[in-house]
Amino acid sequence: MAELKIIHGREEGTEIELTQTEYILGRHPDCPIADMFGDDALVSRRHAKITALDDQYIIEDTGSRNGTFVNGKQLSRKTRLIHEDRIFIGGREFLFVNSEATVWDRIRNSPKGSEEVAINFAPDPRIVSSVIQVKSPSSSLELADASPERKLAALLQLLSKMGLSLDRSKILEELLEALFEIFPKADRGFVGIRAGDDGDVTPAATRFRHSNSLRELSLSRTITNHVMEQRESVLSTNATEDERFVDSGSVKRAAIRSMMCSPLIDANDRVLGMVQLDTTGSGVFEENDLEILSSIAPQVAMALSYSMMFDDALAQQALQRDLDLARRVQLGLLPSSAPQVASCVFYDFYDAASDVGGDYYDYIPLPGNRLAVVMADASGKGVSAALLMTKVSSELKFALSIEDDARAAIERVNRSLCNARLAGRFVTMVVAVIDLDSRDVSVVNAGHTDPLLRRGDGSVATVGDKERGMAIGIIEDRKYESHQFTMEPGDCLALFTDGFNEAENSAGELFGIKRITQCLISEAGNARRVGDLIVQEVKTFLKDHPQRDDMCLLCFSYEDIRETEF
Amino acid sequence: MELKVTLRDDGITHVHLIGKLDIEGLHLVDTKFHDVTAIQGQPSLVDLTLMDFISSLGMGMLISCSQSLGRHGARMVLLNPSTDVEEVLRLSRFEELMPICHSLDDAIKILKTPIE
Repeated sequence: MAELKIIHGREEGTEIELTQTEYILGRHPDCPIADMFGDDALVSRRHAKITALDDQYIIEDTGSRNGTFVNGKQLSRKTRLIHEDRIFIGGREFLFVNSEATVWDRIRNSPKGSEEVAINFAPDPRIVSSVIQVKSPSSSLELADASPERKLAALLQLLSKMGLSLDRSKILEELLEALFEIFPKADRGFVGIRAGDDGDVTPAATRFRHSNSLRELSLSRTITNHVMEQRESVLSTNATEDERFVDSGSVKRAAIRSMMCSPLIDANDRVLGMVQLDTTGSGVFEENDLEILSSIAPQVAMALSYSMMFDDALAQQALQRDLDLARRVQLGLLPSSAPQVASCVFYDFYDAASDVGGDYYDYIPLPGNRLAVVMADASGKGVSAALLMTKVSSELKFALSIEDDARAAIERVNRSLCNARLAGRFVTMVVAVIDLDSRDVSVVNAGHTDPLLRRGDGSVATVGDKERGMAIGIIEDRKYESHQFTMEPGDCLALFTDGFNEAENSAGELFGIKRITQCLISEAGNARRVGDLIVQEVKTFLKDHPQRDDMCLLCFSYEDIRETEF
Repeated sequence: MELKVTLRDDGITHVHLIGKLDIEGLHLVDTKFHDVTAIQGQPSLVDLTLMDFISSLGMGMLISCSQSLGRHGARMVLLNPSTDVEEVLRLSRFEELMPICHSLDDAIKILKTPIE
């Protein structure tokens, strides 16, 4: 039986039973309580009407001058009255009481009809937290407990949708929407997704039935751990007194009455997360509710699994695009061709171990018909090494353009790199400045593998090992020295990174300096032939064993003009 | 890659680096090595007797911690590296920053010498 109770204004405390199918509220004689409004100038003759329809009561304003208000909001259309709604007409406030319709006892419509619920977690960046719209209760709150047919229909609809989307947020939103349809007693629902295989569970989607539900929802670690570790669904008809959750502060804070929770286990037996529904009112989940939830969970897990795989594939594609771009940028730092100089032969080879490399070589023309031949190796590999090398190459070009010699240029680059404070990052570098007229060569070595010089007589020796200084980027005020020598016809100078001498075959053996030396000895000093031989030998040495480090080789030979190949 | 730490009575931290200090090895020991050397700020003896290989990033880890120690007024000394490991360390002149010793007594003597 429903009734109106005056809780404010004249005749406060008066109770009016709503026994007929239609009630006019106003001063009109047809109104059963017309006398009550008789002297209230704020009340129209036919102010509002309440219509009883089955167990529901609909109120509408019937063109009153001063409006009818429900819960402070002026009526603009027919509105279903909910237990404990407050109706304002004229100077009176009525309380709508419907003791029979127990389903409405705890269900309160959002006064705003629809509002956004923000989830105020600190989510894992890999987890997409949905912001879910709390919908107008017109459709999903009609039944205290949905009929089996309705549950089945909602279930089938959900399962059909699960395979249609790869958008995780959408999947979870639809899941919770369907669960609220299937379980009208559920007050709150959320899906937690585990970050990685062993990470914490963080909420990925949340839905509240009522606008006044506790918004600062926190996952109960007790429940989460139980479901995720035991890999079993949990039902609690009285969570606050359930000994399994006796230590759970969040269960108590949220005043959870009843809850059920199922793990989301995919086809590979991975626990992706969990889905939980709870009630904070009088609703209590039963065993058959849990069975339905448990039967839905694997389908959801499968949809989530596909979604995650799709996300991973997209991320991988994006990463690959970035790497491709980085490789193009890095390769753009390298010269497109060797210099064409009479009597000189240049050979260069570069092969990065991964998508992008940290080795670098260059030919930099200098005033006075000089040429700087540069080789460098940044510590580490991949994008970080390539970025470091990008800085070094631009700094070096600038330094060589303003400093008188390679030694001063390297000192400048070293200072710059030290100032960048790249803890533990360094670059080894060798710069050989060749005077193309006199054939004098000045080599400055900053912690790099010593170059090898083959003389015309077939002897091979390291160059400048005594003058070799520390790798750059470590000690700011480090001084460097240069080593001078003159190239003679038939001489060949080889610069290389440790990717060559430290190339390791499947037997764990290193290619070594000796094999490079042997290549220099066996060829008659032509840079191209020597370079080709070294590359061929190291490839033969490695066979199918993967290359461990970037490989960079640069050979320069000075030949008698009569022997130069055209 | 494995890292073992012994705190000596004389206040020296004795760290054993065992295995390959390549990228994978570095990920395993980097944080802990930093904690026991640079963060503690005590003279550090890094025993490389059982180190098979050191990558440039591995050398970077040693340099970075050695420089941090230097700012605390403490030293890092490398003990007993293999020929290959010592060769790459000396190639880049890192022995100027972290002396290389093949005797425990020599290493301790250097570690106890105040930094000027």
